Amino acid sequence: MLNTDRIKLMTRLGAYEERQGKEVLPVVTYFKNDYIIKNMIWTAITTTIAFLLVMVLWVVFRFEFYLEHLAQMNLILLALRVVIFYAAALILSEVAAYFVFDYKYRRARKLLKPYAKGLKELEELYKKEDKAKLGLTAATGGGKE
Amino acid sequence: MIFLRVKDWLKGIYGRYEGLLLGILRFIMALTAFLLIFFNIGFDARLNNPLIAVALAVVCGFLPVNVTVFFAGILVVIHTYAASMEFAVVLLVIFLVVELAYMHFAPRYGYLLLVMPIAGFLGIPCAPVLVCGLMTGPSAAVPLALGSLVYHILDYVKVYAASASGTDIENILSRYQYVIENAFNNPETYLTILTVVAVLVLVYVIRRLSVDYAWLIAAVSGAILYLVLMLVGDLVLTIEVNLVALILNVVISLLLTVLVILFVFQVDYKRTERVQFEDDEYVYYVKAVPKMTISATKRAEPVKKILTAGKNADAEKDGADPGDVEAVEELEDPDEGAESSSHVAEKLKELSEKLDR
Repeated sequence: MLNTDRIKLMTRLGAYEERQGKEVLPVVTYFKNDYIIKNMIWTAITTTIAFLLVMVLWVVFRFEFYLEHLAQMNLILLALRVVIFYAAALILSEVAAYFVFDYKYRRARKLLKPYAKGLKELEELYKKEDKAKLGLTAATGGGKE
Repeated sequence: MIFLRVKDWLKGIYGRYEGLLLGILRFIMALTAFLLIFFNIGFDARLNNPLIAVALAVVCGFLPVNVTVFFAGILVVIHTYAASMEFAVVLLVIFLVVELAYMHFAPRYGYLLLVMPIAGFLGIPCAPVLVCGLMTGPSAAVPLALGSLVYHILDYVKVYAASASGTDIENILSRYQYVIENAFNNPETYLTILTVVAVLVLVYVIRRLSVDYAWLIAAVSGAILYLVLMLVGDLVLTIEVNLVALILNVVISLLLTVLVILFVFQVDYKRTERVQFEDDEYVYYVKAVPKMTISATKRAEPVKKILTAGKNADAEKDGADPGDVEAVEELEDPDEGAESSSHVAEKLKELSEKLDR
């Protein structure tokens, strides 16, 4: 015997998993801090690689200048400037990452609420069905006796 | 009236054939992008075949839109490499930096990197900015701005790439410097980027206001700001801007934006859902097809009659002349037809309670 209410509810939950669920569910499987830290680490790695690429372009662009003035330049000061630029880029990207992923996590939790409510309703339906089955089994068992 | 029927018809089409329509849209976008690449910067003769564009576009029709962006990026780099290795390397570095620094935050806007150059080559770069301002938000500013940068670099490659020559180290280095300087030292590029960001923010802010037709006011304001900023930039930076092309760009972009918003994004449709799940007894394969909603204009008529009858009955009970009954309320926005069913139910309940007294 098919329980049409349960099928309708499971259909809605299945459709949610196919649509919003793909964006929401991978996020909320993490704790909030774990999610933010994981993405901040990945942001640090990608920012470092992007900074190195931009540095290479910059050096090629100013290659003649550095070639002519390298002997007179204070290399420690130059290295310090590079480190300061890198630190500034990293701090900016990490701050942006913190706020962006914090917002994404809160939004995902909010979007999860109808799905969580649907799952609770489904659980209630299963409990009712189990009770009904137990009651039927007791009745038929008593009848046979 | 005809517009409402078209909207209802579109709802049905979108709901039933969403998968197919999205696939066709992805195919058209991919084909447009690849053909524009071939016709504008098709320096590599081996790949300069429209059939290759069609074949790639067919593949991209089945895959997410970021795959189209990836293929377009590869084609751009390959064609540019055939003309000038230095341009290709600079473009590759730009694409990698964008991918690493930005896509991590908002991967779903990756397609805008492709949309801006397409719109630029088609002469309507204002259109994506207006549509994104209405449908997304300020987070689209980065891919739109970078897309504008890519468009200007490709436009430059079209004209100057073939003039590069020589293979000794000094020549290569000086060419890199030439390329980087001209790619990033173009005032028109920065004017376009500034205009794109300003228009996007303005359209987004106005769209969120609680006024009627906020989206239309936002689109028109954005178009006017685009025109003003480009003209002011033309005067201040002494750039040669083609005035006729600019005006045409703004007017056509505004018309396209209005059409896209009316016939695509304001059509609130339910999709056909296909899901599969199982319990202890059965495996379920379910296809949920949205019902066609009755046109709100048909629903308004019975509401009119019931309200009039109910109010007349009340008026007679109170001893008043039925002619003194107030005008019947009508649904002002036909799009609220579907949502007014609960409103109708409440009204019916009130009336039945009044009539029972």
